[in-house]
Parts: sequence; structure tokens; C-alpha cells
Amino acid sequence: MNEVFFYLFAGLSVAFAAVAVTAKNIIRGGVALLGSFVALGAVYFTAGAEFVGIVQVIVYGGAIVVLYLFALMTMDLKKMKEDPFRAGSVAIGSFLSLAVIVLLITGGLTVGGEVEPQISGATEIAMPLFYKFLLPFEIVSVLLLVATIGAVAIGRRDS
Amino acid sequence: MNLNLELMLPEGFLLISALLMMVIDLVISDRQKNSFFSNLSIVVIAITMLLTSGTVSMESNLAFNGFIRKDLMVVLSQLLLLISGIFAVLLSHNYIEKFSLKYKGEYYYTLLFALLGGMLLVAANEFSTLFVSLEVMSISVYILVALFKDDYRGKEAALKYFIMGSVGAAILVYGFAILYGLTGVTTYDGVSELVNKNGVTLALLFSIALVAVAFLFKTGAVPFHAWVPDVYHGAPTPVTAFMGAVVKVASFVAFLRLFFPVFVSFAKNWTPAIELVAVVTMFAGALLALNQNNLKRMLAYSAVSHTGVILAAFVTVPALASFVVLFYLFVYVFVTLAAFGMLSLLTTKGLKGESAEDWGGLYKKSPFLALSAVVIFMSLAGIPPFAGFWAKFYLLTALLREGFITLALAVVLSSLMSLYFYLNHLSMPS
Repeated sequence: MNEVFFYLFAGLSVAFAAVAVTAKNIIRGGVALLGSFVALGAVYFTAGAEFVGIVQVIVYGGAIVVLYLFALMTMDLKKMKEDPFRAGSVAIGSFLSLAVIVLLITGGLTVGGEVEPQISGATEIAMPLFYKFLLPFEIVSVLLLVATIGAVAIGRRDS
Repeated sequence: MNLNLELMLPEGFLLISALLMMVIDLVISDRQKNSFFSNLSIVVIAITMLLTSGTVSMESNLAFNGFIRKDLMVVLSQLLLLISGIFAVLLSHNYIEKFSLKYKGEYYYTLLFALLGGMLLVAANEFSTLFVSLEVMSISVYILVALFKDDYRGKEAALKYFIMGSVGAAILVYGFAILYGLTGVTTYDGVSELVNKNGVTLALLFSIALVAVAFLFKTGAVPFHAWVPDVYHGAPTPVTAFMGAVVKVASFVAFLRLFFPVFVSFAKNWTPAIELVAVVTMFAGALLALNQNNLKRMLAYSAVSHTGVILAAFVTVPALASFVVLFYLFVYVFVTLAAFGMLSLLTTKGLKGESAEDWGGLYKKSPFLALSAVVIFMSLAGIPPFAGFWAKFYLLTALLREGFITLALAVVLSSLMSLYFYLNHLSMPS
């Protein structure tokens, strides 16, 4: 049963991704990208990696797609209507995707074997983060604080 | 889990004080901010120095599961960082009085955060701790460079420094990633053990090269020195002094502490590269400084040249490197702070500008400052009675004892070349 859903969502994800690339309307493309990310999150769920699935939906489906859509709305969309399928970009794109596919397939064939299932839960991620790597984690919070202060102080427009 | 928190008392105190200063910043009136925060920062740094002196011990202690190691060298370099911090605050007070700065509180506590990053950087005993503390220090310094109002030169310098520094940080992480891939651990002890067991491979050498490149970036060695003159020149002078002292000491000590215990077993594989970079750096810095009209640029290139000299001491691992590098840095910090401090003093008093012509006839206006300038420049060049000479003397002794005669000759030659531009600036006609 699980496998049915796995292939179903995997197919959905690929189909949405294809729509995202080929859609003429760029907002429609963005929404299709959202669909692809959510379907990919579901794929993680069916593979037993709940935590990664949740993070995928929250981070990619939530934050990143919204960021894309915001960025698109600030641009002048009328200028973007021209045909994206120029010969040069198609050639480069297909070459890169072909190379990645070949790498993935050869990698999948050579690694093989059973993958350890216990690397994806919330506990497995929280334990190193809050126990072993506690100090770097705390320093990162200082880093983010400093960066925020700096961004506000430098970026604020003087009245 | 062995946290050993009492060892982290100085860092904890500094962090909490800086956080409290953020809160105090909200309630205090703008007119009092400069004096209040500069006094408070000096008190905070002084107390941190006291607490740091309390952690001095001859053996090395571990904290946070071995992510932090404190031995004599770490504590001494932390004290050196804190002393430089006090001098930078002292310089900043008058500079802020003279030039308008809207964010006075931000300036002082960002400076404290930069010090905290430097303190953690020298004590780091693990890759991710090293990286994040390096970033805390670097990002605080980027902010300090850009903070002054209507200072477009500073903002340009900050942007350059930010882009270059980010590339350097990315290279560092790439090197660490390969090392982690090879060993599966991130603590220095674990990596050093596994690296010794597995022997030298091409991937290992590649990762070490990446890590070394990142540190050469941070210390400003040729061919990664391009940002140094622009940033030293563009930054507000007290921040330049802070960069020249704190960032340099922290990067060099972290560099040495990473390469000395972890990669020392195959030192003969990487010391030739360091040797080459050192020689090129000391001569390139000295040659480029010859024709500089702006004093800050000249001092920046002389800093590049000094970086080369300090790197030359690295080849004497494992025997003498720690002592020589630390002593050279100790002397260099005070001379650099004095040089940039004098520049800052002259500009805030409106006595002199930064270009060489302005310096003519300084003796008539202020004989004391003119004589100090002589002492500082002679010390930077390494003329006998001054401290700069003793730093070079110990370095040369170490090099000769380990049989690096050509390298010692190169150090002497580059010092002689640097003497020309120091004297050239002192002999400006009025």
C-alpha cells in the first residue's frame, strides 16, 4: 500500500515540476512548483522520514515558494512573456539534467544495499543538535542576532 | 556529557554583558550614549580579562564535549584580544565624538560581539565551532565597518570585505566538509587520530589546501590580499585598528592551532607551500607599500608584509612555531594599535589628514606626536631598541635554528625594503 502512494506522489511531483518549467504564466508555474514540493514531502512520508517530510512542506512549500512569488510580484511580468525555449538554454539545460540523471542512476546502481532507516526522525536530528553540537548551535544564535542588528542598523533609511 | 561550564565563564560574561547593553541602549538618552557605552565597554572587557586570567592553567582543559580547549596559549591570546578591544574602544570614543554615528550603542556592543567571536575562535577545538565563531567575528566586523553615517567609503569597504570574506568562509566549509567525509568526525583530536591512521591521501591534501586558503584569506596573505588595502583604507580608523589587531591575532592563532596539533604529523607536505606564500607575501607587501601616498593604505600593505613574516614562522612547527608566532603577534598588536591610533588621533584633532603630504612639519605642531610616529614606524620596521626588533629577532633565531637560512634572509631583506617606505613617510618636507 505504501509503495502505491510512493509512486503516486513521486509521479505527481515530477508532473508538477514539468508544469512549473513549461508554464507560460509564471504565477501558474510558481503554484505548480508548490505542488511539486508538497508531493515530494508526501514521498518522504511514504518512505518513513516524517521529520524530513514536515520540514520539506514547511520550508520549501511554505517559505521558499512564498519568497519566489513575492519576488515575482515585484518584477515586471510583461517583459517575461517572451519564449523561454531558446536553443541555447534548452541545450545547456538538457545537458545538465542528463548528466545529473546519469550520475544518479550510476550512483544508485553502485551503492545499492539496504539504507539505514534510523536517520530521519526528529529525535535523531535533535540529539546531535542539542546535545553534542550544543555550543555551535548556541553560537549560531548569537551570529543570527548580530546579523539582524547589523542589517537593521545599516539598511534603515535615515529620516 | 561534560560541559565544564566554569571554563566558559569569561565568554559567558562577555555575551551576557553585550546582550544587556542592547537593552540599556533602548532607555538611555542619545547625548549620553557615547561616553556611557565606551566606559561600560571598558569595564566589561576589563572584568572579562580578570575572569580569563582566572582560567589560566599549564595543562589543557576541555569544555563542551571537547569542542573548546583552553590551554596557556589560548588564554594568553584571549587576553591579547581583550587588551586590543580596550584600546579599540578608547580610540572609538573620540572618533565617534567627531564623526556622526547614529547607532552608538550598536557600535559598542557589536564590537563586544566581535571580541566574543575572536575569543571563541582561538579556543575552538572542533570544526563547526571554529566556523561559526569565525563568522560571528567577521560579520560583527563587517557591520562595524559600515556603521558610520554618510560614510560611503566605509560602506563600499564593508561590501568588498563582506563578499571576499564570504567566499573565504565558503572555501573553509568546503575544506571541512571533505575532512569530515574522510574521517567522519569533527573534533580536532578525532580528526588528527584518524588522519594519522589513514595516512596522506590526495583528498586529504586537497582539503588541507582549501582550509589553508581560507585562513590565508582572513590573514591577508598574497595572493588573497586584494581586500586588505581597500578595507583598511575605507574603514573608520578605530575599526581598522580593531581589524588589524583582533581579526589578525584570532585568525593566526586559530590557523596555528588547527595546523599544529591536527596536521603536524605530515608537516613536510604543507610547509613548503606555506613557505612559498610567506616569501611572496612579505615581498609583495613591501613592494606595494613603496608607492602609497595614503598612510592607511601604506600601513595596510605593511600589514600584508608582516603577515608574510608571521607565516614564515609557521614552517618551524612543531618546535618553536607557537612561541614565535604568539610573541610576534603580541608585539605586532601593540605597534599596529599605536600606528592606527595615532592616525585616528590626528584626524579627530583635525591636525593632519591621511595623505603623506599632510605629514610634513608635524614636529612643529606637536613634537610629542612626531616622536611617537618615529618610534612606531621604527618598531614596525624592526630597528633594534624597539619591540618590533625583538619579535623579528626571535623569529629569525627560530628560523636559523631549524635551518631555514634562505627564509631568514628573505625576512631580513623584506624588512630592509619596508624601512624605505617608513622612513619616506617620516621625511616628508613641510
